[in-house]
Amino acid sequence: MNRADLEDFLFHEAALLDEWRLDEWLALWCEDGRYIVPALDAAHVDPREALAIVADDLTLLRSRVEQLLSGETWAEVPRSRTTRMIGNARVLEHDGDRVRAASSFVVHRHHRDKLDVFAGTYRHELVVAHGAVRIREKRVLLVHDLLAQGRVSIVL
Amino acid sequence: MWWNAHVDAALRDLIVDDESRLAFRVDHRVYCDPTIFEQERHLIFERCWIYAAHASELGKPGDFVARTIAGRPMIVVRGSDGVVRALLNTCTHRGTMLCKQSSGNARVFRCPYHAWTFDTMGRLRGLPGREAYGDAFATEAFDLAAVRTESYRDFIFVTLDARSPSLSEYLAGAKEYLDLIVDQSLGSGMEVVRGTQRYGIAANWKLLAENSIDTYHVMALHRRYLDYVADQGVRPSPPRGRALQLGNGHAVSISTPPVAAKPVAYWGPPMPIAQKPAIHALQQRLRDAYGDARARSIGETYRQLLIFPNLIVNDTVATTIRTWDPVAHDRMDVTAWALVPHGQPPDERAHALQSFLTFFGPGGFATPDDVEILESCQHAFVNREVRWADCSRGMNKVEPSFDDELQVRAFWRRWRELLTGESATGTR
Repeated sequence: MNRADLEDFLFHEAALLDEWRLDEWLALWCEDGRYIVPALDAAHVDPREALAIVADDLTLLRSRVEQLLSGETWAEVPRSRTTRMIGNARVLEHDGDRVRAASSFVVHRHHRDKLDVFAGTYRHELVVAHGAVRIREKRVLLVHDLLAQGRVSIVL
Repeated sequence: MWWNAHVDAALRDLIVDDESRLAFRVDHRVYCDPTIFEQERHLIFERCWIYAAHASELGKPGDFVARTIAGRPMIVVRGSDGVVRALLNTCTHRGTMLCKQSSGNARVFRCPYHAWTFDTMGRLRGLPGREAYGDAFATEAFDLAAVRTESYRDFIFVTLDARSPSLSEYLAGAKEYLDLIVDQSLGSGMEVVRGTQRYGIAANWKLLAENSIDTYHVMALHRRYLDYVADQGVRPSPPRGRALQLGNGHAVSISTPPVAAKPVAYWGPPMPIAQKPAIHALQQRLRDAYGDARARSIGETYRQLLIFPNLIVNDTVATTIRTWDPVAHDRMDVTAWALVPHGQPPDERAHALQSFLTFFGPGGFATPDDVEILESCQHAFVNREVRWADCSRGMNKVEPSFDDELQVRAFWRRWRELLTGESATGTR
């Protein structure tokens, strides 16, 4: 996987999230996938050992998506409008079918007359097999040390 | 009252507490008026005992946390003499904030501005060019100001009021509920886990006190969490229980059986089935140590404990410490930690943290919706034609249920006592 391939994948993922095509986004995941947003002061600690903000396995992630799509997630009714800017993409390691990648992101979320900004770094661990790219881990490292608002109710 | 405050009639009328008419109402002005917020700063946050830190964060001499407590930047530090002190985080020379790091271990605190240097007991130990101040200069007059600090079972509180009663007296009936929480550790003590959730809410701080002990809203607003639990194949029996006023505005909501997991010690989602034997073993250890009734109370009962004014210790899907700093009448900053038994096995800790996250916090299946609701309340209060918030649920009962609003009334009765100086008598 070269940088252009990585960018294609990250931009595709961003489009699925911005367009609320969350079922298609879920299909990108490996069965043993983990979606992690660490606490801001324990960014590099395993969520088994430190309190995080999100640490979903695929069961929880499927439930999260279902709750978002069904309209049960009150914080996302009506659905937030988001736009993601992703840059500085780098392939850190490519070993067999495993790819570790880093990128920077800014997510703007507009909801109920308010604009929230999330900024930070993505760390993706991808599996490339039979021409398809799957996410094994997505770790969202926020730069904020105090979130201005308490609703990480979208998928970052 | 241990101070003399005149009764402010206008403030008194902001709350209607009338047991004969089963009426309890709160005027929305209490959430919206900046002048009330200023009075709260003095009459509540400068008078009550305010939660500051947990002793496990300050294990050895020099360990410190620097955070905003009661609206004030403070350093809570275990001094080289082993004593925990809360020091005002303001240099006594020219007023610089001494410490910008949120936690760590320090030998001294050195001011970045002119290098005045204080030890971990707050004493001024060095200033460059000492001779320029003359012989009469008394360094002890420039020691950091220490705030009264006391602790109960490792929960460290501070008060800015030198005349307030002891922490033990202040906590009143809340102590036995802190005991139940700490006793889950079977004598090893509790510890705060690394990793802090910090987030702002654009709403009045009192809305979070109400929301955190209001179990009435769970069935409606947190349906998605309960549906997630049901999707894991668990159909919990409807919980039953009651709420209690514990004195000084503290209150607790108590219910059983749990609707999901309790890490110590009740199996439920998101714990895997494989965790059941470990949970049963934990239950047995609690029974061996405390007998059946107390073991069930510690391990198989949910509790939301409010310690007035701004501390919630949840003992439900996880044991959590949540406190919030009132920033303005329409803004608060929330901090939450996970509390677990010291020396807990790694798998049990992982499940406890997962259970915390699945419900609580900015990314959980519940908290974002609470935040959204509180902010929408703050927004909608502008319609002054709708003047009152009604908190009368369960006033017709001798023993209000856990999902009635007695716990909310306990908060407001104390709030009015502190603002007006007039004693509250309501029991229901």
